Amino acid sequence: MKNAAAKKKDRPISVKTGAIDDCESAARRMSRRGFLGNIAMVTAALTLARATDFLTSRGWVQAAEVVTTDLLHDTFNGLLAFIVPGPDDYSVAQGVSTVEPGGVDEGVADILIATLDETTPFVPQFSATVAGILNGIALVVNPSPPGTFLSPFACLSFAEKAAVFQIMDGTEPLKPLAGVLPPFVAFFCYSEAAVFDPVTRSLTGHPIAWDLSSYQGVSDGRNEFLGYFENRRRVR
Amino acid sequence: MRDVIIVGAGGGGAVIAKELASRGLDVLLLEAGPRFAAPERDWTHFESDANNPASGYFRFGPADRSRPPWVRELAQSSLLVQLSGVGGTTNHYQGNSPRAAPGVFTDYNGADWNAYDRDHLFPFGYRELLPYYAWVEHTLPIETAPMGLKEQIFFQGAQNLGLPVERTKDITRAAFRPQENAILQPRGNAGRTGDPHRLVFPLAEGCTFCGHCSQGCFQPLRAPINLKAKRSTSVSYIPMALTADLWSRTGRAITLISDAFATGIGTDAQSIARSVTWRIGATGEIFSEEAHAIVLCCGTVETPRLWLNSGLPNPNGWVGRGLTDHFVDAITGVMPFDTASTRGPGCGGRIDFPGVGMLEVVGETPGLRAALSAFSDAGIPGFYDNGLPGGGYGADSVGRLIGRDLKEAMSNVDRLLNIDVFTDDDVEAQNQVTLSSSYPPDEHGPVPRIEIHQRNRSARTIANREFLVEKAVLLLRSLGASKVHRINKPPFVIHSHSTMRMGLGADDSVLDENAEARWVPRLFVADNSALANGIGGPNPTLTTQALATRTAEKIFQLYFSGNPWVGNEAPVSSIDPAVTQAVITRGV
Repeated sequence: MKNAAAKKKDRPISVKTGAIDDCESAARRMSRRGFLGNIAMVTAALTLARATDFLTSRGWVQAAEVVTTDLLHDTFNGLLAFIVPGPDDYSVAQGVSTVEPGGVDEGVADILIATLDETTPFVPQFSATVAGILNGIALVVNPSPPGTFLSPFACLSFAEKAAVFQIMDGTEPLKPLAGVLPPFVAFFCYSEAAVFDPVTRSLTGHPIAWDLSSYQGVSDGRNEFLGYFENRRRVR
Repeated sequence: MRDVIIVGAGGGGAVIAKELASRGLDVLLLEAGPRFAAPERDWTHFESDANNPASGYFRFGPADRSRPPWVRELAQSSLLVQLSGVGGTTNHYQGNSPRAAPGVFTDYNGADWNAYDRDHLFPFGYRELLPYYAWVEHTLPIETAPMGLKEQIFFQGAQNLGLPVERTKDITRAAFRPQENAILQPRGNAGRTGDPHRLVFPLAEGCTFCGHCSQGCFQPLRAPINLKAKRSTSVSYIPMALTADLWSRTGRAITLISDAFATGIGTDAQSIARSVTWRIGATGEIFSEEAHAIVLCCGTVETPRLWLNSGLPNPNGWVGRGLTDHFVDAITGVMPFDTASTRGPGCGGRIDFPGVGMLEVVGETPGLRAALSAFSDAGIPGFYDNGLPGGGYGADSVGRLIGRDLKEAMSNVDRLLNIDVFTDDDVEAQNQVTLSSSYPPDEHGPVPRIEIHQRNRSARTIANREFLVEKAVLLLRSLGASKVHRINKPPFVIHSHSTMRMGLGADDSVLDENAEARWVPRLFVADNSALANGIGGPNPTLTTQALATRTAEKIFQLYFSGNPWVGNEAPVSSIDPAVTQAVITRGV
């Protein structure tokens, strides 16, 4: 049953890319979700902030302020499960899960949140803005997503999450964010980020990521030298 | 007053500094980022330590890692792979040092002459640059790369396509070859063991095949800094510049100031460059000095930014324009056998297609490999193509790998064979660096904005990339790949050039044939931005370094009544015993 459900949820869904009018219409239906009240403005604007005044004028700063810590983690756990699924609740809920660990199990949500905030220092709590965008568009894709997570994005199926990215990829101001989120997540899931101590600059445990990728681990050298092509060591 | 002030200690600035220091000039070298004086202390093998875009030591940001990185506005989905610090981007490069395609110079008359961007040639001939190539190749030094497993496999794939092997340093035909790399050859235990106790200098010399080019090379352990395997300028040209008085009869050691971000170039009433103003990151103090000549080497983004922030003239509007980036793409094969993708030098093999571009076999640590696999302009396979249908040439997927697809591909990173596509792309005015009007200024002034029109490139550029992608897919299939994925990347700006280009005509270039600014005498540019074009697809570092050597000679001749030395003297290698002794004596 689980596999069948997963297969169903894994199918592409139809999305009108860049359909701002549709988004606005859908966004208006979100009022019952008080915790995301200001996100409607975000979604309607469908604009990624590039400056504080720009953000403020569209209510994005206010939107970020109402994103609670739990909602923030919920949203990014939903994103981690989307990029690198595992056996966790978020992956199961989206209908695409795996036996071996995934991004949620690695516990890199905090690192991802911190990095987003650090890379955009002039936007207060940029990670909250990103969460607002993901959740706002999630409600455009599915105004009544099932599930018990605080984050509408985390409640979506895998195909619906793909549809969120389709909208972002098709909406000019959101393209930069759509482009960099997946590689950021993938980097943290497949590097030693989860067990790297920045103070001692050493590992606090064995990285799950190395097992996921069958990586031999870091080393000062390897027994891999295979000589020279045609035994030629120089050309002119 | 200094003789020369150089702004930026990366791949180009370090070369100018060493060459002019060896002539006895009083050189001040400014670097915005950290010093990286002791690689074994400053760097580790961990991706999280090195490559985190916000806090990694290889970020574009201040020396103090507790402070945020410096911001650039990217106008589109894209990644800009640059770092600050002494050595610049050569700290995380893979040492690849090919020469340029001869077809991008004025003296080329081959049968395929029309295959190149003929509107934006270098303003001199390839033959004129050859002695400067040879000078740099001896200085670093640059040598033929040894093989690891991924190179062996890649060469077999190239032969499956019917390609011959190239046996000269020059690009003469469509052919594969071991790279010419700025990496010292493995000797002793290097490349023959993973035992760290046996990898200590001098038991091991040269490349140890650790697989950490992208995290910075500090191998072999305990080697003097000028004998580290990968020849980043931080371990080659910079140590030479700091000890020029000790190894050169005519030399004078440079003054190097790191954590010093240049914020302005001052000119006099005749628009002649006179001074540089900079800000010290740790204290916020502002300094200014005058010089007889000034050289900008801040990179393809920061050099035009500094120019524009200084209010220097831009009468033809070409400051910052003409960005070339090799229109990069990546093809990954999932192989039914070990490829040692994460082991050995990052890239030891390539295929040149003159007039089209280049393919390289590349290996990366798992975090970077996964990130690059998830970075696409073509949507998510099976869900949407983001308006880029087709173009797979028999690949199993086109687009970003995520979810189960990513986990499946990454389940054994050492069974991946990754081929990067570097396109011979046209110089186009629309691709440019300007000043951002939407991001707030930082402590150094308005921040740069990078604008690349990925889907509106010239027909030749697009056709070149598609040709290369098809070849890469064919190569991987010929080797028995069980799956082939085309990523179809957005702008992945790992090679960037020509935003302050030198050119034949004054209407579409900033620099003249001497790399001197057309409208600001005594102001030169000697980083990748000075290149006239994308040099045909090969990695740009060697050509920038050869051009910087030529520019150093021009400065010495034009403003210090000196004589040229390339071709008249024998170069001193950065691994010469005299340099090693100088480095040890001075404690560099």
